[in-house]
Amino acid sequence: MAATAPHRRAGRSPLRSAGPALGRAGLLAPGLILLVALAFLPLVAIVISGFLNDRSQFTAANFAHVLTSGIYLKLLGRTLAVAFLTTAVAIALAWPAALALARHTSPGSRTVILGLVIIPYITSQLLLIYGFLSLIQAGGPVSFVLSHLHLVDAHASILYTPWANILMLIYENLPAAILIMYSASESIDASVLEAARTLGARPWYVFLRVVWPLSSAMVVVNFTLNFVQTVGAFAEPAILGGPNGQMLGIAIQAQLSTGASQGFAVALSLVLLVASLVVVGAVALLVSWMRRAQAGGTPRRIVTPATEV
Amino acid sequence: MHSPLSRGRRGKVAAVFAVAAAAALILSGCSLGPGDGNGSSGDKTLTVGVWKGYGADLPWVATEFKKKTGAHLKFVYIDSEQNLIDLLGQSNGGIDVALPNIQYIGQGIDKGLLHELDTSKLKNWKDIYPDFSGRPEIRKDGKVYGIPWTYGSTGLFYSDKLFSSAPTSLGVLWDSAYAGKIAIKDDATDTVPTAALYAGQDPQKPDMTTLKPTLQKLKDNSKLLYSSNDELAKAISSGTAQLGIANSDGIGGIIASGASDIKYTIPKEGAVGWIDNWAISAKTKHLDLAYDWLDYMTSPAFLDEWANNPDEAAPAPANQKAVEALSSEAQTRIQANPDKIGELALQLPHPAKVLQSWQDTWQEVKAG
Repeated sequence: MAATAPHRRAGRSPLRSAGPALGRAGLLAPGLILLVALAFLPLVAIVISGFLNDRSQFTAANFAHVLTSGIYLKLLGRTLAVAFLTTAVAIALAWPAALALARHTSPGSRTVILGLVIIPYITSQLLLIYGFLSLIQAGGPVSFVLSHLHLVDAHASILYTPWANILMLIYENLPAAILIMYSASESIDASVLEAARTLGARPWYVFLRVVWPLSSAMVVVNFTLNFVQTVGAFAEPAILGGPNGQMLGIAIQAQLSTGASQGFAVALSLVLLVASLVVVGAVALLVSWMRRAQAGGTPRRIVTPATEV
Repeated sequence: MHSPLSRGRRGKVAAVFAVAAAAALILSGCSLGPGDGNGSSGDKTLTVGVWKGYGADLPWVATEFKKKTGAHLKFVYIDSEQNLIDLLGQSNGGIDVALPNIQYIGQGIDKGLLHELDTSKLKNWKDIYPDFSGRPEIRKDGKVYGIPWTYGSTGLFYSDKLFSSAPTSLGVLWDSAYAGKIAIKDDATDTVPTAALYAGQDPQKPDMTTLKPTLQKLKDNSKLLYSSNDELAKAISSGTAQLGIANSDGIGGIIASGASDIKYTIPKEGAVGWIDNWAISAKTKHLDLAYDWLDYMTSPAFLDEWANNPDEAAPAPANQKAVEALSSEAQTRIQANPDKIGELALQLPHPAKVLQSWQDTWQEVKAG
């Protein structure tokens, strides 16, 4: 039997031997078609248009303008900082909630709470923004309560300030952050936590030495998904952020709508994309380094007597 | 001779090429190409490139137009004037009629995207205010490419709770007494000419270096930089915005919807103005139908019905007869004030370099 197998393989027709490759192509095709048609080709077209001026001549002037302009670099820095802050705060808030949900709630109430967490996630973004606006505007419920407690003036509001934008972005990031951290928390074996505790580890030590190493990969996933979405925020700063809450997304939109150079808007978008990828990569590397450092560094190579001369 | 490994690689490469080819086919199939203009029932269809919710797509318009011509309407919505010009170029006749404003129509003419209009075939041409129909921006080499439809201004709005009498100067926007109560359009093509008018500069050719501190003071005084009428309406209804600059039609709608303390005025320095024009695509396959559309859109029958509904926030018609047929209440509401036409600093075409310098300065002020 063993001797006949290679002979049978050798005798396969070219069509039959192409079967597995065609099968793989068939499985990959739907995803690849979508990826190529809706992501790769548009991205190529966008990159090319970023290198064109208004007379369709090839030039790097658009990128030079972005990278040498203090205005847009300042706006880029502010945008990255706001996105980083709001993503980090959302994860910090979501993590304890996710741990509590995974460890300390009954299955019935967990389903209800997860359902409530998902509602804002599937609600129209504009509806959420305008709902938040109605909540915090002067004369709105928050202002009404605080002014009746004599804590603020009746017309005081954080609306049209950078803080309104930051709060909204944290709020928008929370559902995804909770869901991802819930998944991470649920995958940690309860007996591991119990073992750490019975060995006398304090809660903070359990978190640092057990929970963090087992969840850090999901923290990176969480950061990546929320940061990338937040960094391109346009509606939130435009509607809530006021004159001092500008982000780069607004500048890109304004650039496109005013009829100034389209290529420059593309250059702004691509610089934002690359800067975002750098931040995400840096965070992933940092978390990976922390994990390795916590584990005592990379395992030492076993030095054999033969190499130890 | 190929190893099994290289055959596998060949398979993968072939699969990737097949996927790319399929994707290219999908993309080409999705393009806005010129149809035969006939629906599945064989009826005529006119494709209109226009802003969403801007009169042309009112439900009764389609009914009326079908009654007049038997044709259906299809709308391609735009999100900016530049977007309209780009779509006209890409559609290759897929859009029959379009609504470029006076700032952008020149681009469409220069690129050969617009049909030269025979004004003798336009039933309402003679009734358009001469200030509008005589504009050089809708012409090239003496030929006409657009018929003015509506006009408006971006002037001063104020709450009569804040002012016992109407402010007469743009200076109130720079007065620190009103700081934190002001809403400004977040659009360099409005803020820069407005600041230039206040500073006594030519709104078409402002000196951006000397204008920057003026823009900075305007931004510092502002509570809100808005990009849609909805944002402005919310700020007005909460009492946050009591003064600012706004489009005449947008603020008309906000006033009509219940903001009775809000008033609109064109200050002594003037205001930024705009004119929207209907034009026909150079590659349309429905030329007669396109002329029918232009006639209907510029007729008093359409314009007055639109203007008489306060909920629609219609702008002022460019057709003099349509304006004269309106009640004085309606004329005031839609800011149809022919006496002020001469005071408008129209948003005119500018080279991209000039617009970029406006944009850069406004961004710098906002980022500061």
